[in-house]
Amino acid sequence: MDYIDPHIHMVSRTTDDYETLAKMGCVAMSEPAFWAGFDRGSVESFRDFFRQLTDFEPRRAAQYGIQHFTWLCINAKEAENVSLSREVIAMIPEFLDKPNVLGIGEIGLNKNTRNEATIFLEHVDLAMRHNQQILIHTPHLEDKYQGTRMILDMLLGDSRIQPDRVLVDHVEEHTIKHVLDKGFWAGMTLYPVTKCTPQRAADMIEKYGSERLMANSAGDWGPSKPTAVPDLILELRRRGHSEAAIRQVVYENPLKFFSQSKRFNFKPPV
Amino acid sequence: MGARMPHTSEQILQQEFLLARAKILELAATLDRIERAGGDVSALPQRKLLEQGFNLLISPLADTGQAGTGQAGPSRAEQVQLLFSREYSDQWRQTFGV
Repeated sequence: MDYIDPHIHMVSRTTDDYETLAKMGCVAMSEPAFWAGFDRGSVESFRDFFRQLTDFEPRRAAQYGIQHFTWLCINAKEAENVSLSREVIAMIPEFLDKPNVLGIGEIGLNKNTRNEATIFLEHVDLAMRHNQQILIHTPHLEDKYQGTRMILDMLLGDSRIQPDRVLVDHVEEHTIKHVLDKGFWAGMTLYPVTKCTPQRAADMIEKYGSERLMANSAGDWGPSKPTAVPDLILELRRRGHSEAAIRQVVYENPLKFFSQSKRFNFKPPV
Repeated sequence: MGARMPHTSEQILQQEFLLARAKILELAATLDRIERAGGDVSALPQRKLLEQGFNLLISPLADTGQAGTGQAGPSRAEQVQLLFSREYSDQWRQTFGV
């Protein structure tokens, strides 16, 4: 089955992974900017990172027939460095007209601190001033519930926000309803230990339906699995769900959400 | 997703039984490992949280308001998630001054 992975960090994956993903049915992906595993020292590091996301990765993906899109930001883990964060936010508009940029992301909270909230709000303002879609990172483990509620408070406190242009990622059993009830899109990240298994994601689809719901692999440099979305497809088939119903979650929904960006120039496989 | 659960509860139980059994065994072995190492962890918050989590698993759903409908109240998974979560206060913006 063709599918779109709406949140996968290919900068941390090998070219072999692109080939495997293509063989598994991945036809497009979106890659949010994220933490490198260490705190970067200057705005120039981010400028190079954004060049990688807007130039190198699309070309690497294209070798395997995968269309690559991206989102730009400084992540929440580095938001404690407020001055660097503001330099990066000021530099981002240089890249907003690149052909594969869908918006601002993944912005959010990590430990739910004042500085993180401050930089989150400044990212949201950047997105609104440039009419960009937003992709949200929610915290992990014990911080997720509190952080998700705080993020929703900030989004709903900005009258410029259109919820159907915002994707809130890493939802789990205790946060998904809050996100969907407010009209946002929700993403389930299939990831061992800190996020969600394919089985639990399938449970949430069965409980909440598939409207405004997507699944992704994260596929970062941690213990993750870039082919996790096909694992979810298999789990849903095993449970007896129809191909059309499965396709809505892993293909039609990402297509519908991303199509709100004028730069989502997706060409379906023929 | 139209028919949200194509399989019956009995079919699901048959499919999941061995997996659930294996997960219970892993938990039992983990507790054995902790006790085998000696020392007393009974007062540690992590040990207490695990015990509260185990109790949630065996509590009837009727106690949660869900009453087997799958709709009315929080599921066991949601209750376990909230047990291991920090509290949220709707006054946080005033506290932070943002």
